[in-house]
Amino acid sequence: MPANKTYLILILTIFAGLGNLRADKEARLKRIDDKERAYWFFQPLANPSAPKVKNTTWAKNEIDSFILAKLEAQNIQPAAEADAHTLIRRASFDLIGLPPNQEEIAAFEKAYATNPDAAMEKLIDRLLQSPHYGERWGRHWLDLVRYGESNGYKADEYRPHMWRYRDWVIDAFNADMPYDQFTRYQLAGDELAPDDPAAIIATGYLRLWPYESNQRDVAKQWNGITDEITDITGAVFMGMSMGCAKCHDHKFDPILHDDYFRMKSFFAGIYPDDNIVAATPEEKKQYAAAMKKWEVSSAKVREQRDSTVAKAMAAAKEAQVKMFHPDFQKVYYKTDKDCNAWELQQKLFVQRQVDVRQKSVPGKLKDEAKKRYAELTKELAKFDATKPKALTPVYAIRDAAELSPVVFIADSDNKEPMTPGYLTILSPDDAAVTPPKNTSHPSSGRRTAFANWLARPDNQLSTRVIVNRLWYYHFGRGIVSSTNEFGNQGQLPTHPELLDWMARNFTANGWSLKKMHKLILTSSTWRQASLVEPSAMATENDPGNLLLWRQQIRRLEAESIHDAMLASSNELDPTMGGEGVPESKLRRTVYQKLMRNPRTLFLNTFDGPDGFNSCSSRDITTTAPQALMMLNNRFPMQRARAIANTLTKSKNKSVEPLIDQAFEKILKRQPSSEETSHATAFLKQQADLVKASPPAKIRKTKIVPKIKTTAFKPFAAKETGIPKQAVNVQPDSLYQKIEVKNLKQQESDSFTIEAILSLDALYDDAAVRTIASRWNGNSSGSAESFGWSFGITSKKSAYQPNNLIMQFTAEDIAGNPLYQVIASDLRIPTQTPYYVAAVIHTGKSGSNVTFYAQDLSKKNSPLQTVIKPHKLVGGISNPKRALVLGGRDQTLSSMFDGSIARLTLTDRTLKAEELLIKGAKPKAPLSDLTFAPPTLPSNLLRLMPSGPQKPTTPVDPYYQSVVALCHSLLNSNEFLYID
Amino acid sequence: MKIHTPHYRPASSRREFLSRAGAGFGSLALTHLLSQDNALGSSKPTTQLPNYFGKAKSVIFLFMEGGPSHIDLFDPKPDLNRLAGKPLPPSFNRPITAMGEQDSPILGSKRTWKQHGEAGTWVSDWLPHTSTIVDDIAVVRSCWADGLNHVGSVCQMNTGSILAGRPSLGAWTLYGLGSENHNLPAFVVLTDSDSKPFNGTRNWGTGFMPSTYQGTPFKFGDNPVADLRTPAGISTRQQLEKINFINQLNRKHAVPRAFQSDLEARINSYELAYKMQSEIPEVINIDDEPKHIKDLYGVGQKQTDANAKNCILARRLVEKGVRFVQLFCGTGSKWDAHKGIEKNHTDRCAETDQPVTALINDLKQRGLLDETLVVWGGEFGRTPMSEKGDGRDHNPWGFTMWMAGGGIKGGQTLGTTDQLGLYAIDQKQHVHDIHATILHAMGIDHMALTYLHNGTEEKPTINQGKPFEKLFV
Repeated sequence: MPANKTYLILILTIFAGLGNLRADKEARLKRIDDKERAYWFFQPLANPSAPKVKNTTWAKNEIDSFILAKLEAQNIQPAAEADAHTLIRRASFDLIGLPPNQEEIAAFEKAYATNPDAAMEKLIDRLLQSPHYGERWGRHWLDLVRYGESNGYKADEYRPHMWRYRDWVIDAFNADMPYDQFTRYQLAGDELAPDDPAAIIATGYLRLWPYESNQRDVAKQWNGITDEITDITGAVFMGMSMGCAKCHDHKFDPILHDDYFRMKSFFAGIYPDDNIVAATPEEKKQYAAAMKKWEVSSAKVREQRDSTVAKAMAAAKEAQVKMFHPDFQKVYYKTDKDCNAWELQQKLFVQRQVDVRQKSVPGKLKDEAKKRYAELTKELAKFDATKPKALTPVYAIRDAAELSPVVFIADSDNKEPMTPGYLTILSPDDAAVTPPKNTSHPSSGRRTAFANWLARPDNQLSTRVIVNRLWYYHFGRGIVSSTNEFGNQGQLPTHPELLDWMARNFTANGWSLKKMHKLILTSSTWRQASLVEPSAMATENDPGNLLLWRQQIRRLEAESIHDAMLASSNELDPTMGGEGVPESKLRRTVYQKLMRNPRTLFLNTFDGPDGFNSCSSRDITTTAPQALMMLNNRFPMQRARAIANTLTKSKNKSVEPLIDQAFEKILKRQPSSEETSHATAFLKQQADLVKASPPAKIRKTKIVPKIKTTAFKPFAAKETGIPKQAVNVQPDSLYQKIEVKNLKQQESDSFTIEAILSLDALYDDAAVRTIASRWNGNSSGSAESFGWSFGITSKKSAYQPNNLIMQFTAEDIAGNPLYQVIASDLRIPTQTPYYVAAVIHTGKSGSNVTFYAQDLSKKNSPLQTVIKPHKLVGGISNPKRALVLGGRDQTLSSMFDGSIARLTLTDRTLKAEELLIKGAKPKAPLSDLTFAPPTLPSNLLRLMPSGPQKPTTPVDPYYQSVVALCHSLLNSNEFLYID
Repeated sequence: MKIHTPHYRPASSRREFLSRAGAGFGSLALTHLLSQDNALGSSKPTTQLPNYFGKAKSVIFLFMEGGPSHIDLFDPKPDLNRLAGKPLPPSFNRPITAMGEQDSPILGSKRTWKQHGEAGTWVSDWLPHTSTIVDDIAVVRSCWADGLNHVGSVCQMNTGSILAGRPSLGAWTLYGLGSENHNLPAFVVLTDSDSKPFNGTRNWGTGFMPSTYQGTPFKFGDNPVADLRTPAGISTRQQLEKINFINQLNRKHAVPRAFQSDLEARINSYELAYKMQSEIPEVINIDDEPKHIKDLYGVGQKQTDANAKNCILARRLVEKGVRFVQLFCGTGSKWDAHKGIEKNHTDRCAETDQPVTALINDLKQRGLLDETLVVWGGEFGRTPMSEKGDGRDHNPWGFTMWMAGGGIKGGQTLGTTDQLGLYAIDQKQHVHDIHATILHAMGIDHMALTYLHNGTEEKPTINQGKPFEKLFV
């Protein structure tokens, strides 16, 4: 390939009579023929006025005139307006990604009956003002820019601040930030508004590339990254796939091989500095001043501490740098001021790998050095009070230097440097670039030039592309249906005049997306019904509905399916923004932590974007695994239970009102009488089936704790301290987690926890079977996340399965938050009664955990003991967290699955002879729980069944049947599709 | 029932609404949709797959993750021992190595080598079982790849590119050929331990293609596939009645929406899901295999057990019409012998040699080998230079793979590397060539199989590569 391409350039340049291989402007222009030049997408925006139409009553605005004119030309009638119920459901999902609730529907239907146009307008305004609008439309943007919160590749390291870019996008949509500004900020916010923290966060767009943290060929790595930015930017902002032109003149479009590298030149100088913060100049100034003070006051201690690791640090650096090719080594050891931009870039990527290596140095210190380092760390911590709070770290971009690295055409004999420039067919001249004056670092100004070109109202590429995207999201198909590809390999526009009219209208109205939404959603075109049989003329002339003689039926996207389920069960947590949360939190999908490699349940099952490619339109697949997930996965089932819990609250046991409510909550409408009778029969049938054949492994049948005596039989009875009865603590059972309330006082950081239990099963993954905890399972290090947990590892644990462990998030000796897992390596088999204990000793002179375990199924089993050190000195017993038996606070992950017969918590470190298993009576325990029927000691325990709502009635066949009904409705196509 | 859904260029105009008629796990063949699509006149013409070549109906890819040492298994280099302890001769172009031990000396090979079979194929004493089937296999000693480390190289061997985002070879195969058993996933992935392969699910992902074509990992045990089991506490009968009720609702919903074909597809998907709930547990239940078969593969022996079970399952899946089975042997890069190659490869070979050999023999005795292409290889080989004294670094510049069945002519050894096995020099086979060869064996022209993505006609080998025709009968 390269040979041909070089040959081509060679021929052309010789033809042009030039002495070098680089085709200059004229030669470049000559490579574009008239046919290519005439391609519609490169023509300036036309300025059409709305066409005249015969039917003068249908059109509500210009959009309708354009649509109707085409329909009339084919003798096709547009569909009648959809009914009010359909309109509000469609508008709600379109604009906020959530269903309307019953009150909103009723109010809208009433208003619509009086004045449809006014009601529509009011509805659209309300939805556009909802903060959920940004969550919905921000997500569309995140699809396009291949948003992910991790590096990709094998290690797939989490990017802890990436979410700020996600929040910026959501906020920008909610604030209706003009799209030209939205564009400029993402490409060059650092150059254009260096003092605006939001503009800095916006450049996170240029940080979304996957990053391989152990790549040794940093030159290749950089080349790949700037290629990728070029490709993505071409697709997202210009609707052009640039990739082909990377190797040769684009075969199908007039994008020259040079154009690719001219465009790439705009991004060649980027420098992904991890020290960039989002802060105002004032904040930065204050921070710098305070930091200076701290640095001066702590200088001596820091020097001393650094000196204890200096040698090891240097060795780590050297060892790491050695892994790179000698060329990179040479660059790495140059001082920054002797480096050009390209060398700075290479250095940065080598440095990142050095940083990773050095980070582990202090932890590997031994003996004296280790002690000394710890002491000095403690010493240094004394200055913490004067240390300023870190400014908000962000993933942002700046330029490496004012002079950008030179870009050459890859794999080519052409060694002429490329200069930044736009597509030759539109702007053959080199871009006019002025380095900005007021940035914090020298910058090239290249990205500003490019952003300004994109954000020009007469840019026929960027303006058409964005209005077409809006059209696509509202109709399920764009005017150009290939929304990321307007070139020859894409589809031609169905309504080119309308597209240009909208592009002009859009820029004339201040690049406001919200105004464009309103224009589209108040049109008769959008308001058409979708349930319309095609007329003879439609079948004949436009069977595919390209001309829009009806609306399109659409399946909900993954996020809306998930979020609508939570909305229906009234469980949706409306909290906005912040760091990504695990899937178990009942937040909107857009706030779920978004790693690139393992995808979340809904995104994986229902065609979510892959986070590596720009996703301009979601696939719509229909597969059996989707059905399996909807039928068998816990998530839809839990939503069904939550709804059933509400429905079965009523004392009135007649089924008809219940069926009405189920339909209303889930499908947002009343059932027909036929549906009611079907549902009634279904309820009865399901209840009868539950009664007739109690399932073999039912785990949720009684309100009283299920007593398990068998597991403890052979040995337990003879021994004191070991109860005969145990509570079944299992996920999805009524006692899946038990909160221990009303402790006399909270345990201190040194305490003893003892349990008598039998574990039924491990998790298939690496989750922990938690025996007891005071922790929310978060290891991020915030004070919120402090706590401890006592548990047993599962199948895929890094500590091997069946390992008795303590987990802590607390403070180390330096006062820094630290997450530690202390594994005893005592193995607790499943299906076996066991005595387990952990004695946690926490002190500045050395902390440790003493683990005990004894098999209770065999007589005379030994009591195993292991002592393991830990590094925490305080903050273990977090008063904000509840003491939980069989799980963790505020989460449904890492739950116990088995039976627990006794749990004793003592606020001191017990000696071996004081343990329960030695027959000792607990002395002044904070809590000593045993479980006897029929109910749990209610003064101590609060039950926490699945979901936030407690069932008010016992689980019975009737309840089961209601769950089945709700679950079925959540599975229905009516729930998944919008008309 | 053979549902042959040839690859088609998706009509972008209907693409968003088209319920994919493809071939993946439980996707639904709606061939009428395709014809409708053309009737719209909105799409480019459907490209029919040419009746190209290829006997293979299925592929079993035995992926030796981490990179086995070709120069200790299939590609003897006497000069290794002659030059052991000395630096790479100056005549060799010095590559950037992954671990950066730039000047490490040559590491000799402790293997004993013999020629085997009628063809006299060289195999080392690390693979005593494989040496008995050499007349069924074709050894290619001149493979090469672009990636230097595992991430890029594993990604390339599975998807063609060292960068993430492209469909896996299995996905391309399904896209091109469809499935022959719609109650089972058509692309199944098996790992020999609980470790995860490098890149995880992306190795069997679909990149820019619909997820319909992705691979489905199977596990032995109660829950072989995610969400396959009816939730605890719900009887089979309850589940069936629930599906009936859902589909009753859905049928009624579909009446005024008859033109929306994916509604019907969704109704079918629930029935299919129900069937899979019984079909998948059945196929993974290898307990019903006779003892002599289990013994043949090495079930129940400590070292071979995991791969023996996977190889038997691979055969059972292929018998049921599964299109592509990917086995990870040494899952989690366990062939990656940076140090202590003696122990590492002794163990890896002991784990795989017997099961892999049994698979070839078993397929052959059942008459399945002709229509099943078996591919053996890692993401790269290993360097002649030592690392950490007694290991070898990554070598993407020259390494060995072998193929059997599916029209491959056994008993050949093709391609050569240089005198030390560092660079492939003759009849070089890039990963793209290897992929083109595999597709060729399946009857797919790698340049004719295209998928339109963002305006680019994407091809499985990124417009490169060609089949290695000498491999075929």
